[in-house]
Amino acid sequence: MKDFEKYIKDNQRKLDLDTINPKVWQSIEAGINGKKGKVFFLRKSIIGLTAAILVGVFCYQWFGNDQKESFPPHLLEDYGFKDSNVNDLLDTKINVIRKASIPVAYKNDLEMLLGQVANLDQHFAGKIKQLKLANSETELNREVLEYYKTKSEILDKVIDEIQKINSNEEEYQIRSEKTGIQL
Amino acid sequence: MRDKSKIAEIVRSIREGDSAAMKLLYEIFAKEMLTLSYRITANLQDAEDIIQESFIHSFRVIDQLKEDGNFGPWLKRIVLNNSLKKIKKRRTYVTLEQEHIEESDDSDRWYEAIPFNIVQEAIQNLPNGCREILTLFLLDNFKHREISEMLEISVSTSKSQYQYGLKILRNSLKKYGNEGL
Repeated sequence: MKDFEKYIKDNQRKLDLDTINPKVWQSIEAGINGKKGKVFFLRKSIIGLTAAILVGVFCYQWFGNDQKESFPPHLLEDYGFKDSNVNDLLDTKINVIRKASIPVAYKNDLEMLLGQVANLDQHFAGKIKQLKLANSETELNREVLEYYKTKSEILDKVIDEIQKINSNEEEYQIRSEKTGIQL
Repeated sequence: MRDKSKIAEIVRSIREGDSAAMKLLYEIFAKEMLTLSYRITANLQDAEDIIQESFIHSFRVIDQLKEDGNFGPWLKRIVLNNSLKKIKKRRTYVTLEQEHIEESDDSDRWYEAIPFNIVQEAIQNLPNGCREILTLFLLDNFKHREISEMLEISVSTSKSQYQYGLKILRNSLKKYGNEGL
């Protein structure tokens, strides 16, 4: 090792970051305790998920239709659904989640996400009566499709999180106690 | 405080549910881990996210740690893997022919006049790929064989990229010495 390398190596502590954002510990602490407002590796998903749910809920304030058969095919394509049977698509994703398992230590994190999925469904069900009073069928269909799109995105995020959690286990060759997922 | 027995004692306290011990362990290792991740990702926000994730994961699965005193190396490996995973897509290895590299004479120890914050900045500005290798080899004491396994490259690529990074670093610091960055 030449002098220049040795000099860098000998002084490497002087190259360390000397400050650390206090929010890092706050986020870790919140993540460990499962407190509201925690920011950790799920945070981006949670923020995205919350935003998606809000969009979905907002769209359902005034519209409604519980008949998937009435969706015009071009609208389905506009929203990225190649398969006209949207419920089957969602059921497939739900089945993937129901068949999966995760380490017990991560159960609470995932339940928070799943709880938001349930809230969206609940809200949708509660709005059905209002939706049936809407006058514009085209707009009604569009908003219903937005619901399915939101739900589909949320389920994808849940599946991604499950895969991420389990890939950590595999990577570090950890054999934690596993639990199933209720959805 | 890096005494293995002290670390083991703190880890045992965490296992017994002492949350204050987590903070203590964090304070011992946080800066080192943040520095490690920052050197690899060259992005402070990414590095902060990675150490959050890594600390939380390590605390959750701390029962899996076989030797309590080895928490540091274990955590370092987790941070390292997460950091490498983060930058995997943007990692490229520039061939040596792509940049003219001047041989330099170090006999006058010109580099001692360079402030350390400038050295740090110059390391962060190295191209992805050779920056990781240089920091892993020079600052984190990994061998080229270990680096090659981690990055899924050949040992000779690791060595050549290290030399490449070193020369770019030397050149940029020399340039600073002559005219400022």
